Amino acid sequence: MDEILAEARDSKEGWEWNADDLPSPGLNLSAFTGSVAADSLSRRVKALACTAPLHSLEANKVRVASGRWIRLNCWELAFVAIDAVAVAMDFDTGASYEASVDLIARQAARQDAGLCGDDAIAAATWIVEGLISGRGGDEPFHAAYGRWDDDGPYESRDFHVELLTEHAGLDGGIYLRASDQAINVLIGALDADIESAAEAVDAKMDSLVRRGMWSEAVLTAEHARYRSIQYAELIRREIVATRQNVAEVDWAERVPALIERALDHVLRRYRTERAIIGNVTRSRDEATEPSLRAKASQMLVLLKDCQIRHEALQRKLLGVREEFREATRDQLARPPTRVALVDLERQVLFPLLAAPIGDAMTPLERLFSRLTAPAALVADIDRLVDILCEPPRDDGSDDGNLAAPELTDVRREPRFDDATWDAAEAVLADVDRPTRLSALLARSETPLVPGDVAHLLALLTIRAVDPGLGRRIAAGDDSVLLGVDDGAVLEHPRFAGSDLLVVPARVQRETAEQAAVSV
Amino acid sequence: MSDSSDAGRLLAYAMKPKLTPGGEPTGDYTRLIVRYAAEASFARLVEGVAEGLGLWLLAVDPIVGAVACAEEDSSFAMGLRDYARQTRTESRVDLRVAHGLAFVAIARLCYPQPSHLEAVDRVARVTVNDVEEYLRRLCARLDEEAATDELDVDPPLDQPLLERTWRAFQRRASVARTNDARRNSYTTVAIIAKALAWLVDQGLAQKVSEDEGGTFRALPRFRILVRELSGGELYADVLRMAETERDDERETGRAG
Repeated sequence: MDEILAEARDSKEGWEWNADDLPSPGLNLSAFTGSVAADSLSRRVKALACTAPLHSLEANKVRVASGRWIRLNCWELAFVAIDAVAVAMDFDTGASYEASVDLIARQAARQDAGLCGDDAIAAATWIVEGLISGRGGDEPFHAAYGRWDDDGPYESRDFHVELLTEHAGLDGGIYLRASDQAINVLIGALDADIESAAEAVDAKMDSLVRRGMWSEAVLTAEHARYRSIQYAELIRREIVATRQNVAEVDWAERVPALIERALDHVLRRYRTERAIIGNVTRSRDEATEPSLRAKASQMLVLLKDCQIRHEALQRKLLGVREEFREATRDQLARPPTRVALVDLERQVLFPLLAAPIGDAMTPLERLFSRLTAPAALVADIDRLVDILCEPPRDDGSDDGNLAAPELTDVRREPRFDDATWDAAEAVLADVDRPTRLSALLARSETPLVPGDVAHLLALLTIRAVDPGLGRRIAAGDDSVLLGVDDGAVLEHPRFAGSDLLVVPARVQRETAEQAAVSV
Repeated sequence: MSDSSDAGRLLAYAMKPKLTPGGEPTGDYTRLIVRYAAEASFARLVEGVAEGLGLWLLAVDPIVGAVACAEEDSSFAMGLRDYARQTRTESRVDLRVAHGLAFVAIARLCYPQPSHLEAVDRVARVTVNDVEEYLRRLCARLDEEAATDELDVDPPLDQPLLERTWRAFQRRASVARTNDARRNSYTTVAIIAKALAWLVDQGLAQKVSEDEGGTFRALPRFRILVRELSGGELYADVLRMAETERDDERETGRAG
């Protein structure tokens, strides 16, 4: 017993002795949690966060489309999407939404042969939508990381993940672009400085070319192509930022340096890839085995594409200074922003909500009419009558001495109350096939309905004979009810006349404007 | 072609909100926009013609095109009255207000921060459900504030127009389905869906999918409109409204 205790004491002393001499475990740990480590931690959190939307697609596939997409590999499809968008996007526009969806749909159909055309498109759309950020409250697109000083408090910061983003193209269409983050996730979750990554690619490529490892070299060339895409995106964003506020972009030092680096990258790539193309062409010509020849040909196609991409970047880089000058000119030529920017919630929405509805009416009425493009609305008699009955516009020519007219309030209490209106409109809303007025009257005459619904219903049906089509169409209604008199006679204890046929009709829009767009 | 014909055509393009300069095949639209930006005398001519027609030229943007609104009394104008079903507008101020609020809430969700109104590259997304929940949340907040401040916000029985806007909105059901599963047009969800469909019609938004009650993306034209209106007329109207309210309160204060 004594012996064991002594031993235990010995070992304890031994530990204490070691602790004085060696770095303590406590010290070691603090190196991982100190503020120095914050950068590394946050970089890794961000890198991981970029993959979250992909995981969420894969995890949710069982829950959507009644489980029909369960056999799809969503990670792979998401990568295909990011690939497709990154490679297809050019400097000015981006990848077309439909083309990207189409490509993914084909890959999805390959993964699951049972997936039919429309369903494959639906699945592909779901994948693309799952990768587009910019919708408020999207969980997978947020991550938190910490910032702290050794003595100060821990501060949580929000990181917003962007994979695919939507942009308005010059032709008015909407295009997709892949973000830097997406391209990094794609290449292998490197949250690295892109220039140093480019150098790494260069070094790797050199050694591969020297050792004659062509397939590896082609892979690296592909990565270099993504770098070119990233440079193009970086520079495009600087130009957009310049257009918005020229003072915000450092065109004296930072951006020219970025352009220099990008040009340097392109030139080096161009040289290296020419060397590989030469070598691969030679080995293809020398190869006797057909499979080797085929593989070499494939590589050549890829390498040529990389070259085209670099050339495009180079052309852009050479013109970018002119583009910048133009953006600056634009900004300087524009008169200083006339409008103050308003916090819509605090300065507009809250006051409106808190006001009495009678007062809130005016600003809202006006806002609506402003949002509506001017259009010639004189399309039906209803509207024409309104216009003809309007009081004359005051042209300021009278002398202002008008005898005040004696006015009598001719407004009456509404004939039908709101509950009656609701009931009558509910009956009409249910009409989905041609129905006789007599049938509608029968439906309205149940003891449950309030007021004189049948009377209102009959009046509304008469109105449906000439529903004011022009105005209804202008108001954006999708369908109207039409009353048709086919000669049938109404037999009803209270009402007499034609037993009108009430027919729901869909409004099909084919405006001159759409015709102009489709030309 | 003469200057006045050019000016007229530019305004004719402004009346086709879905057409952008890049989408107009002959390049005429783009040419007119370049001319408007370059020649001050032409710009003045265009604005003069617009004024005569009762139009208000809000912005001329190289990508979005010419953005114009109709003055209230011009024959090109359309009001909420036309939009929110004509059958019984007289008794339904609260319905029109709800329709109007939907537009403001959509704008707020598309551009949550003032700086977003300047973000050229921003294509915002918004869904019917988001707008609905957002408005309900704001109403709940106002409710709470009123309860804490012990404000008496119920209107006198004979003056329904004094009802607070948020209360009127809150009273509305969010969804109700008619027998054939068509939406009852007086619910808040239907009102918001109609507002978004309207924005699509006006070339201000695009429908993306049926998810979340309908998912839409806001186009740059909407951003320009919201920026110009919220910083100008709409804001001025809201300020004026607040002023009248204060005056009213002062008067009733004196009376009581």
